[in-house]
Amino acid sequence: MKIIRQRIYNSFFLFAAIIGMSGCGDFLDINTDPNNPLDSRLGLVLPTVETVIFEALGNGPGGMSDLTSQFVHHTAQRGPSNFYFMAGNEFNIANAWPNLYSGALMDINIMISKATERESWHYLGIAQTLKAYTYSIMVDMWGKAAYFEFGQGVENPFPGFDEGAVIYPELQKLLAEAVVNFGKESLEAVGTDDLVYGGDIAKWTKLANALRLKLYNQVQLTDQYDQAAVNAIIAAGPLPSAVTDGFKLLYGSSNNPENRHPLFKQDYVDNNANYIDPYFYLVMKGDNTLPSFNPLLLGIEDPRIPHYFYNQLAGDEPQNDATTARWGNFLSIWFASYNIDPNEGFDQAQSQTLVGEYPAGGAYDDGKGVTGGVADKQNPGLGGVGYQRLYPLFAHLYTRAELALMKGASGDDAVLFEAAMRASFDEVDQLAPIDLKDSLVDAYIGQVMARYTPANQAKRLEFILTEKWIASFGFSIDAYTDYRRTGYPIMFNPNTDNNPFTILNRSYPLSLLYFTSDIVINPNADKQRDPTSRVFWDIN
Amino acid sequence: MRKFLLFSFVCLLQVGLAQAQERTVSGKVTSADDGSPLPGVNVVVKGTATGTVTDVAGAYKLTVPAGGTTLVFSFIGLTSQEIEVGERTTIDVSMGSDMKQLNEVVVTAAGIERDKKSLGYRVENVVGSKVQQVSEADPLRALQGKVAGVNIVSSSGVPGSATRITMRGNRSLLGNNQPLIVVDGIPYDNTQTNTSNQLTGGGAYGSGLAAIDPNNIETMNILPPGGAGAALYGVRAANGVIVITTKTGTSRASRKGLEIAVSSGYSMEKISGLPDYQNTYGTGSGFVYSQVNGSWGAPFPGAVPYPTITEIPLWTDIAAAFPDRSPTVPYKAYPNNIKDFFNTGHLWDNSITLSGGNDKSNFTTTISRTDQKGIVPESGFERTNISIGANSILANKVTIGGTMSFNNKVQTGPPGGASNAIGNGSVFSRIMYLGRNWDLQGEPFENPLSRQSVFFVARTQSTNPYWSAKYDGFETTENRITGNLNFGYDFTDWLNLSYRIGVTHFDQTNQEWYRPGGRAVGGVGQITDDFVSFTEIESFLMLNASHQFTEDLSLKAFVAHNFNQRTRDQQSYIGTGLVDFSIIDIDNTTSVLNNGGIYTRRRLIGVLGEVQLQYKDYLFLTVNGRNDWSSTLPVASRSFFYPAVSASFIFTDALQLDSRILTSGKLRAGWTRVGNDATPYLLNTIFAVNPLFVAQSVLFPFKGTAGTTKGDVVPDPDLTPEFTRTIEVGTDLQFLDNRASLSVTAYQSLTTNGIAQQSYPSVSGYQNYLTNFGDVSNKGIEITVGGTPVKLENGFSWDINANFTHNRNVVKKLADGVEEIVIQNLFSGGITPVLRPGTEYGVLRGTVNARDDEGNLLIDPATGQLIRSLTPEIVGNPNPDFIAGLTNTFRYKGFTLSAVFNWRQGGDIYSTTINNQLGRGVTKDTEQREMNYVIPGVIGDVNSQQPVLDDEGNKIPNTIQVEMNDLYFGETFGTNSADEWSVFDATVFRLQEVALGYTLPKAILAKTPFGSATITLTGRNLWYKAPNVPKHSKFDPETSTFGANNAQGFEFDNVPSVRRYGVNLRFTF
Repeated sequence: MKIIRQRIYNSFFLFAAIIGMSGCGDFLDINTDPNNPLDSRLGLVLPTVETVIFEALGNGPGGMSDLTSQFVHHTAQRGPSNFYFMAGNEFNIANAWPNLYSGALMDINIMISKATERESWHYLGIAQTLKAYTYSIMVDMWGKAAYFEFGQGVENPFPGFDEGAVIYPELQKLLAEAVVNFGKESLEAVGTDDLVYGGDIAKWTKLANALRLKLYNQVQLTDQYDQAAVNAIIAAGPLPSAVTDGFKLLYGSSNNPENRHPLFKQDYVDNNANYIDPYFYLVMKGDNTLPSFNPLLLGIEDPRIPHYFYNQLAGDEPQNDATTARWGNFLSIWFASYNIDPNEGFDQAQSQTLVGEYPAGGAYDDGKGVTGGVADKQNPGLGGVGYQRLYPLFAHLYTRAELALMKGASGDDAVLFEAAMRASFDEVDQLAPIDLKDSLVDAYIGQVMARYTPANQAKRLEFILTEKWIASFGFSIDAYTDYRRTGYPIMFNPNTDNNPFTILNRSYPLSLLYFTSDIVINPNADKQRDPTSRVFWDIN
Repeated sequence: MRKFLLFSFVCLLQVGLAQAQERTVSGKVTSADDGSPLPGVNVVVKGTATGTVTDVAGAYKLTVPAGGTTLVFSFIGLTSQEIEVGERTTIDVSMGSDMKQLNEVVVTAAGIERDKKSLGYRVENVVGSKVQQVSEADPLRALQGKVAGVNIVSSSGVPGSATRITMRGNRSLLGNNQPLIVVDGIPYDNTQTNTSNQLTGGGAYGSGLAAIDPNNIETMNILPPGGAGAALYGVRAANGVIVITTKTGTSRASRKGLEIAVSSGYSMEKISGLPDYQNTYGTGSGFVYSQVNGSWGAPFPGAVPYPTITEIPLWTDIAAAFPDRSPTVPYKAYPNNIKDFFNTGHLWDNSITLSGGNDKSNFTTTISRTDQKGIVPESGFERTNISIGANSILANKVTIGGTMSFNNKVQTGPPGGASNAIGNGSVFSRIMYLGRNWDLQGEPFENPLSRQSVFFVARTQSTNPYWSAKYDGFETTENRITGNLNFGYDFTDWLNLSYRIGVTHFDQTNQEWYRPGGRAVGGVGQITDDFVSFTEIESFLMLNASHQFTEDLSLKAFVAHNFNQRTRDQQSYIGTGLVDFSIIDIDNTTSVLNNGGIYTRRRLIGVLGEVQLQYKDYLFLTVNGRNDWSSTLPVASRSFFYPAVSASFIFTDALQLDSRILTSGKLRAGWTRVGNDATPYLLNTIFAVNPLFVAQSVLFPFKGTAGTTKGDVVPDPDLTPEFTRTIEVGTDLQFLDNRASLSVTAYQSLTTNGIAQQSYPSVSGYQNYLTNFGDVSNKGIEITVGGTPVKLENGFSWDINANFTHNRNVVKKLADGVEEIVIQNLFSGGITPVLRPGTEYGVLRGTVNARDDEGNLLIDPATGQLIRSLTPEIVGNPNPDFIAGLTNTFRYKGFTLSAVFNWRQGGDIYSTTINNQLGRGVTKDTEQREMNYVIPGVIGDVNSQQPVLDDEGNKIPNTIQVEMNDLYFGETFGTNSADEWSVFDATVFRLQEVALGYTLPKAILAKTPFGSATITLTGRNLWYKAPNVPKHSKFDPETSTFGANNAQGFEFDNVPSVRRYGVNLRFTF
């Protein structure tokens, strides 16, 4: 028995030895991911922030311009948004909201703290400018935003929303600080990691100043407007003066990794989601087909049309489908015809007119059309190498013109308006394979100015905002804001057009819905917006 | 420490009793069935603790103390015998099987065999033959309808596609809810690795278990979660355990020295639920032909009493590809254009098992091959297994054994995903709802020059299904090697040490490809490679003891140490732009990019023990506990303990009820707590390098510039393990000399402090907070009824086995203030599986239409259609109310006829296939269309979403007529409708399995080399009825786009289920 007992004891020792391993801490200390860094640097965070902002606000699937371009009648889509409907989980909102907040703005906060700590003033200024811009657009869309309590993680997981009227002055402060920071000596230079300006701090300074004016312009009906500040900014400068000063992102040609313009990918590669709103087309055409047509530019055909829209059809080519919106090679669907128009179920992928070279890096319309649909061609047109233009030079100049006209700010509104139109055409020429003919441009501008010069203030405002609306095709959030502020351009009324396929009984959305999934899990968030509730600057 | 003391006590007791010696008795124990020797039989002197066990030859030798008069021979599964010693010195015994089913032997934890009657919790023992010879390659699907307490859902008709199994509901909010699979003592990784999101692409991938060949399964022990036995398996046992013992893992000596068993099966498979299509109207809308998807166009000549068109223009794509073709084609229906797309599939299944050896050593080896071709062209599944197992008893009381197995599995399938996903190339994007005038078989699917797909609608809408099946697809190859070694040493006849170490390793390669010219990836072609390497090491050391204190009181106990390490390394690459059309190799692409990789390693150390006390033959008390140390938890909380206690009481024996009606009866009760750890690397927020954003419009590097972004998950530094507590009570009753039996189990479990990502609003700067929160409860009942209503003298018998499973799985609460978390993001703004407090697990949240306060639908006065509500709501619950199975078996002489009938009641499924069939007007459900309809409801205001009132303040009933086309295309009930209208009750009745077998009589075989021979004819899924889906859709609601994942109740254009007819042969010699 002794032997047995000895064996038992031995085995207990063995057990004890193995169990003892449990206490050996190192053995279990393997819980750090070897393949992902715990920290990063400014030059790696900036490019992500920039692309996320351009994607979330620009045009393409998941960009807010995809939705607002329908509200301002740049484009039309099949779907409930075709008659001003939006849901709080609508794809664009569901994509843009989290990408802006927990993506771009969170990374911007990291940039701000890192850049401050490292006294990297130029990165700090860029981060402040991007933050101010992004918040201003968020206020413009949603009226409110989580500003003061944003981004605190576990410390404050459920921030409340702040009034736009309270956020706007903070943004002015941020932009002013950014300008100061751009003026400082910074040890760490910004380089090609800055996808917008390639590290050119002078251009960032111009943008920050231009955005200060933009924000003042948008609050011109409120008591936040500050004429002295506006004139001081104009006097001090520097302000954008060249087309290359614009706040825009040029996409690439690679499809792996996908670097092409999102709108190009959407409409040339994937599923042709966008139609051109016939109203937009007809206004540019100077046509007067419809009773509700806007006569402002009647008879003036816009030379930008072949750059803006690409017709897949050619030579009045017949196509099989019941068509309700076709002029020549231009084929589209009506706004407010969803579930009514008999062409609803028709496949128009090979016949519909597409967004063209200018807004999407797509194709220039040479009138020859394309057999078998554009998807059959590899890399049609610019192949996706196009700009997403969030605040190009013309937008700045139209803003200046509006400030001069409406508030008497420095500058002559007619001069600025004409310069803005010229900048609009220059913008088209930036990438166009065929430049706009100077004679056509001059003729167009001449005709518009001939109507502008004798017009009264209200009519002039309509010209400025209508031209701005035309120029901004591709980025529609500012146009949506301008329309709500000013009532211009005149929008299409489907109920007075004698068109049996267009019926509208829904009100115009005066602000966008919050992202439902985000507010239902946040007890301190506001209730879902009523789409007829206004943003603070909308007091016309 | 308590256990250590107990062992000392046992030890002393043994010393005291071993002193009195008197005389020696020896003998041999044999089987009453066939006279073979029975090793391992307990021989005890009645009234003492003196005893021994028989050796491999069935022999024993025992010293009987002076007062000993009777020997008790016992062996689990055999009827115990008491034999007077008298003056004899040699006692030979022949033991017969114990007919009482209560005495089944089950493997609880770690290879420990326990008499079923001693267990205080429910364990189901399924013999391998139940899942063999049934024309089913997947061992889980073969189990459907046969066992209570399991919920098995097959995902699709693609060969080798995943099968989801859950037991007693879901416990983890977002993590794994499938049971732990243990094969021959070693955990078996059952992960489903999807290279692409199955919503938008990828395919119907399989899970790990499909690599197991049912032919090699000896037994499957099913330990439901909460059972005290399962708890011993450690953290992964929270969801229950399926313990599979293979034939090679239990190799035992054959009677003949060498036995060869061969089984061979062949089955044909066909699509099981083809809808009834209308063949009256072709494509178009408003009774006018056009080249569109929907069949709402002109009627076909002869189908209606009025004139219609007779020819139509050749389809655009085809005309472009074949300019010489006649510009028109006849306008007619092609009634079989869908049916003819599907092939007749085949399933070949062959297996050879060799076993042999002598009384000291034996071995078993199996080689098997399964070869399946699916109903979709080019889809298939191949499986090759080679395994060998051996055991040996060495002279120095050491037993040594081991198994080694190699599995190769190749699954090839068509591209999947929802048809409306951008850039998707699914073969099923149109096939179940083709235009009725589309001559799919007669027209070409390929442009002979460009090799592009040609179809009846534009290529941007859909690839031709034939093109897609031929040129696009996915393939998974898995090579898995499993090996384990075990040693045993008997210190004495009551104390034994065993050690088992096992390694499983597999390399899995997933490849997905789209050739240029289809709809997918913009038509440029793409190849995705995904390499997975996984290694698991499991070590288990156990000291096992038994002791008889007195005649009435005995004890079985063990302590054990367990170590487990799992390492997973995954790396994927994506190549875009195929250079040569025919080569599927990533080298044949124009650009290759990394597509994400994951590396994880985790370790777990556990110490566990169990004590089982037995009083007489009828009262058993088992207490066990386990402490784990996990590498995935913070240091402060990485060690955690969880106990279990259970009791079993055979009241018929205790009360000596000698009733013929109630033959035996057992009551059991158990309480357990099981802990669970986290997944690795959750304790830090990382920066993602070259991140992928939600819309993925733009990917990094962007024009050569790399980027990073801070991760969206906030970690919780104070993460603690999650725990599940379960109470289980049950009874097992046998009636009428075991002619009938009833087993009922009720349980209630609560999982608290679940480890999961709590959704944070993005305004917090993050998306998720990884922490402990939420309570999930499961309550349910499992009933098994068995009986033999007829048993005649001539050998005819009729057996019935019925089972019933009901589980209610409720999310009790989430974190404070959190009203919802999302299980898996699907199409934004569309239907989504979510968890909400107070609702069942994984309910479906989707868009709905506006209603008034009385529930009337609001009607848009402009269109006569519905009004979309701004707020989504819960529109479905995927959990079935109950599952019932009924097996009838008839036996007569060598013939056996059995039929398994299965009934799933309730649960909901969201189906895009039905939605599209209605919206595109292709089935008979929408054939009666030459009249208008009024949607019941009241006129509403689209802005306020309130009813419009007339002058007297009354609601205005809708009288606006709409065409049937608009009834299913628009803001109505089909295409473009709110999600709620595509959710259907998934109740289904199914004739799961029918088998007719004939075993040749031994007399006939006597002169042949065969020991036995059986032929079986089988049919699977021969009939089903889903009463609550549109009648003519013939839809089979048992399907799941996301396979074995937690998101259940979704069907995004899945491959439909199949019906199989087979013949199987099995013979030994």
